[in-house]
Amino acid sequence: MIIHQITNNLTENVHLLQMRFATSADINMHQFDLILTDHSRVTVLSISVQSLIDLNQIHTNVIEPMIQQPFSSRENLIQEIQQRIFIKNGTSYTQLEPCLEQVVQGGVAFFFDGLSRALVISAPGTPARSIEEPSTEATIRGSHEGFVESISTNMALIRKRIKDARLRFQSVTIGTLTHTQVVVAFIDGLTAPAMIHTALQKLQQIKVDSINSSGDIEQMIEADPWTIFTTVGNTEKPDRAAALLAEGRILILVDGDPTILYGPHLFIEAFQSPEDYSSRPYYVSFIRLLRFISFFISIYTPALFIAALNFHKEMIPVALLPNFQGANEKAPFPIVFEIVVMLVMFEVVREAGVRLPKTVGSAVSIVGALILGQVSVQAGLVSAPSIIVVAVSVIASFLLTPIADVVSLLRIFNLIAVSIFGLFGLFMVTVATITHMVTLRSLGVPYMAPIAPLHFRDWKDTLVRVSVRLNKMRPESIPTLQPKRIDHLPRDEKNP
Amino acid sequence: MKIHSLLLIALSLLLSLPLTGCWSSLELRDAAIVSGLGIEKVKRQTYRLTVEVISGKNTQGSASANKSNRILFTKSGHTVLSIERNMIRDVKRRLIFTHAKSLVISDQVAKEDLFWLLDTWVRDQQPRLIAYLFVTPDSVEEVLEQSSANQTSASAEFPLSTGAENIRFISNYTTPTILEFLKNLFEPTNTAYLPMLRIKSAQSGQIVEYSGTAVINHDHMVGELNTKQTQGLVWLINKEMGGAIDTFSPVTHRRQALEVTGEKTDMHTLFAHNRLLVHFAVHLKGTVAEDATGQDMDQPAANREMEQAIAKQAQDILCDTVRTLQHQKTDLLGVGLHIYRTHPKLWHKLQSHWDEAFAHAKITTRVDVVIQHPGLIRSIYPHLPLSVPSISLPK
Repeated sequence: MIIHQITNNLTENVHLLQMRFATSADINMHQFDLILTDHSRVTVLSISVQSLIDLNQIHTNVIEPMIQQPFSSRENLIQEIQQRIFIKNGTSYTQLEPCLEQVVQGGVAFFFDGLSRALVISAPGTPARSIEEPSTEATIRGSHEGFVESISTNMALIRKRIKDARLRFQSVTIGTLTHTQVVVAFIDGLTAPAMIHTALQKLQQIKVDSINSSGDIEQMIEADPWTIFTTVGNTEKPDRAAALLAEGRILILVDGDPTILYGPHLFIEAFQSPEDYSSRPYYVSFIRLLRFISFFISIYTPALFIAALNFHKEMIPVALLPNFQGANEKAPFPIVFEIVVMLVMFEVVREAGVRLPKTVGSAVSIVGALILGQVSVQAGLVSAPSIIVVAVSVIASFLLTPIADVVSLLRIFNLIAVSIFGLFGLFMVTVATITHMVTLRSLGVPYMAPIAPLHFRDWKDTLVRVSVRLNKMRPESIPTLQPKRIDHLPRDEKNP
Repeated sequence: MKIHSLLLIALSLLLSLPLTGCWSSLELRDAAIVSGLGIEKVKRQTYRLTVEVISGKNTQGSASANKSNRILFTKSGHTVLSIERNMIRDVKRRLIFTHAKSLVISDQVAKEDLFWLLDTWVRDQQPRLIAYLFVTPDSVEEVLEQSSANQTSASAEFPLSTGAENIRFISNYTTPTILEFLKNLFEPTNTAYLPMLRIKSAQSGQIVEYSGTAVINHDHMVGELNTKQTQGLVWLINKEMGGAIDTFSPVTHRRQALEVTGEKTDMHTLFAHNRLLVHFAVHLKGTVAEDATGQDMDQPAANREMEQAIAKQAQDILCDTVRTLQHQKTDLLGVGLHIYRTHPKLWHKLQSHWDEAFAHAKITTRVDVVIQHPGLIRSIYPHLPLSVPSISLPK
């Protein structure tokens, strides 16, 4: 890339700027004069992207202070401007390209006739969404705030919750076209340095044209990009993000995307919900166990059904045998075909329900429930037990929205394996899946921790959640520099 | 390295192909699930096999919801395998025996060809050893046909096995599975027992009743025990799981019944003067289920009186059972097994003629009955006159 030096001839500089920005309609160039004490004038050119800057702030805090009083000399102009204006983040440059980069990121560049330097003042004022609760992580109890697209707002939301000077934000710019700001957040002295180094190193190794969302970053920094399991977590809630930081994890904020990435991300977190920590442990433990059981129900029910009906008929419970026999006799298609078609139709209905406008979305439930369910059984196209098996499997997956995609894929893998190999195929796929999962790592931390490797202390917050009084240490699965998180709690009045 | 990984994956998939069970896949609609079988001998080396096949339940038709969905097929032949293969021509689907939970054989088969039948059943991988084996002196086909009469929909497809699982809570019946039967048969004394079925005429038609026990010695049936004798057998082999015993009070000559809640039998053996002496001490405990005497059953004297009456009743049953078994020269009581385990030298001495030794052994029994509590009431309202007629107990 050619680097242009800023000249002291304003006309030449204007010509260069016009060459770079051409006739872009949103570029605003404005010339005005500054008065010196010796009554001479200095022509100034300001250039900005009108839609990206806060016009009021520029006028009030920059332009007005500049034109109020004369300046002492041309040579000290930039220093005097920096002292006079009310925004303290101005930077001067001698090259054109850094100025233009700042301009397209919401800065105003001032070029002075007779000076070979330019002053850039950052005053971004892009329209932004207000803070609202994220629809994907709605909770009953706890904060209802959610991250927004503006990275500075997101950093402020985190800073609001972790009021400690050890909270660090380290910025990286990625994308030659988009120049997307990506920030790594961590707590100095708590987060393991190796994890921070790994995350920063991975981000710095990304050389792409554009970064459009945090999903791009997620797929680029994963240790194993070919796996179906996601080893980088995400959240849209500041309270959850703060809790993750306090556990010793790192956050990755991407400008323009309210979804924050975090690592390490463990498989067992798919069964945890942020609301688990706002409620008492008894019901929470029950729900967690329910989620765990639902996972196995969701991925194994269709496969076990086919294994029992086609290969291992001795597995069919005696009480259900006449019903299955009667239902199967009426349906014209093989049972594998029925299950596959029903699962595919469910995925279609679910995807349609997400993409359709809300006003039309209700029709999807009518189509799904009545047509696919009731009418197809009455017409004799599919058997009722197949519908029930698919429905049970699908309903069980509703408890596991963080890994809904993984569950769908595992369900299909198991189904295919059982259709070909019988129950043996199911065991083969299970062993292969578990073998694969234990080899995965997330920022150097084993994905299956605390199950494999076994960190028994962490089991207090895995399948069940014990009372906070029994959980005074940070998770052993996540390497940190300070394992203890609770020093003292009020004494139990009943059992002092 | 990447090609190496791909080649490895391709090789694994190729090698997995012989493991596929595609040819083992059989749709349920192409299979005929057998719930029960019956075998009877037609003539020498010719047998008649009856299978009951479950047909699909019509879950939408409420009118027929409670009817049994079974179809019976019958065919004759020389071996079970040849009969079963030929039967496919009638059933028009492959027969699957994985759910066959009851096997009914005629007493003739039990007396002449029991081992052949067991060999066929155990050798195949489909039939289960947790199925129940029954002996019937009546027509096997008719037993299977009538077995589901008056059954609820829950047990209509598997009436005999469902019944066997439920009636073990009656003291006068034994329900060994084929596995338990074989275990008994292959113990040192080579004796075992099987439940019997009989067709009985009732007001609603003919019904199949569990009635008596077939006595098996080595490879054939040698005799049978009636219902009362079966009750005694159950006590003597410590398999009491619940039941009742009724008697008449010697004082008031009115009916009393004890619900048995627990039972324990101790066996003591002694070999003296070239004769085997065996003593069974049976301890029964229970609660008062019926009392027509009008006495206050909370009183120790009334309790003791009932305990003695029950004990005498039980004693009579036990003596009858022992006598019958000794007459049939078949040790079903586990005496030989006990001697085999505790006095191996003695067993070695008696093994060759054990049946005779058992038949001539002096077997005594003693029954202790303990009434644990009288039930919810001590006695019915005492001033109410009781008009229950006294009835003589059948001998």
